[in-house]
Amino acid sequence: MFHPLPILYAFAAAAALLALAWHPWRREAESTHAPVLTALAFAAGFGLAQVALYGLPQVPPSARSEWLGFLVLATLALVPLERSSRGGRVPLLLSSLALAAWFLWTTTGPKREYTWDNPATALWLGGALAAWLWHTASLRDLARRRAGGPSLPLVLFATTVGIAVVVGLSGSVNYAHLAGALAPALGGLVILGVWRPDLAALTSATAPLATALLGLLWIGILFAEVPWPVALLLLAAPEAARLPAWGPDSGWKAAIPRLVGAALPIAAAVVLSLPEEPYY
Amino acid sequence: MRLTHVLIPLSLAVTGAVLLGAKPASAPAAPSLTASAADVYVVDPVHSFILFSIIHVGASRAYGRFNEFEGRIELAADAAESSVRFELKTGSVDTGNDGRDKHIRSADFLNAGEFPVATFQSTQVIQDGDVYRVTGDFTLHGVTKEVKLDMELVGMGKMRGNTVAGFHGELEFKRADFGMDGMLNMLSDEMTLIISVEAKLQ
Repeated sequence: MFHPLPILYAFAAAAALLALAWHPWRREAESTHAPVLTALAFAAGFGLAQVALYGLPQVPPSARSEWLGFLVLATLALVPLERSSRGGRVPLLLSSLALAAWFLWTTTGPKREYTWDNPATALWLGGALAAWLWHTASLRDLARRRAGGPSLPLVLFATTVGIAVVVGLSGSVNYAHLAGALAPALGGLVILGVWRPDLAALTSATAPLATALLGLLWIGILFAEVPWPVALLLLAAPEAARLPAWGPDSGWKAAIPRLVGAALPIAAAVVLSLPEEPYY
Repeated sequence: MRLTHVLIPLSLAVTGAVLLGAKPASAPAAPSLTASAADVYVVDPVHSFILFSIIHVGASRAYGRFNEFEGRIELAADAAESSVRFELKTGSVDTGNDGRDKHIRSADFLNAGEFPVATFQSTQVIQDGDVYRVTGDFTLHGVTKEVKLDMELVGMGKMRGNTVAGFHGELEFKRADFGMDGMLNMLSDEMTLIISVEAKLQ
């Protein structure tokens, strides 16, 4: 059953916080707390949608997947590190590593107990940690290079929708809703990018976004039977957006080749997830 | 040699031979469950079945099975000392349709990734003839609730020299009580877990 209200809540909360952060109706500079508020906008939008979908989470959560909401909130602490210059890089890397390792370890409890032997555990956790760090760094780099405009928000929006579709096709409407909750939180950023392409809204605010994307894919693999090659395709979508070399570098039209670049791995992931024989 | 010296040993030999080779007047008694203080029966998964049933769109009763499970039944002379334990792998659900199995394993229903095992552990066993009225803790979907399960002793037999006992019970529960509230508009809240097992005496 599709629930539209959580999506509206997520959009409203994220859009309000983004407006508070960037004052897009004014010509002067943004609020000094803009990066923190931008990161908070994603976290709040995502969290609010989760609460609307599943109710207030228990502490500790009864299901391991529910730790993701807490993890996204915890990554807000990384935003000041992300903003600082060189001095913050090592602490940022170590903090990201620690949070990712904790989340991966916590969520794999049933797999480690019942399914994986020690080599499989090492392989899965090592691979996931490497992918996690790579994607976090990659998204940070992308945000710096394409600081303004709607290109990157649109690519991330498409990636999130792709994750929701793939998780849904893999059999879990429940987790598809969870993935879908992130998309409206990004919607406000798309509008901001179109309205004020001069604002570098995503710079220094990528930690919660990267964490939510990675966490959703990881939950998809662990609990919704999303095949890991499909997850890797979706993970690669923001990077693939860099590939098309044609079109303008900035403005609305610049988003078209980026979207085409991202759409290819997303479409491949969706096609690979189509059930051979639907049972409904 | 006197004739008696020959006939007596011969008659003893014949009598012994007859006694040794004789068939009894009736077949041997069936193995009894009350034979010892605490008989331990371990479920033979090859000859056992754990099924579930649920009503689909209010119209039909749909069935599925779990292919991987374990069970142990300890029967003491004093039924109060008896115990019953079952453990099934939720990921082994099988309804004969891969797409549906995947959906049932997902977070919409069993959430087998999060909760790979469902268990029943008795807390009280009361014997009533061939029926064991079992009260126990049923853990499903990460939620534990007290339930009642009547296990009927179907019969006893021999399997490759081993004593086996057959038990049948049906556990009725509401899945929403265990947090499994997906698609209540299509699939009934009421579910039945049908436990039909053959267990080998250890």
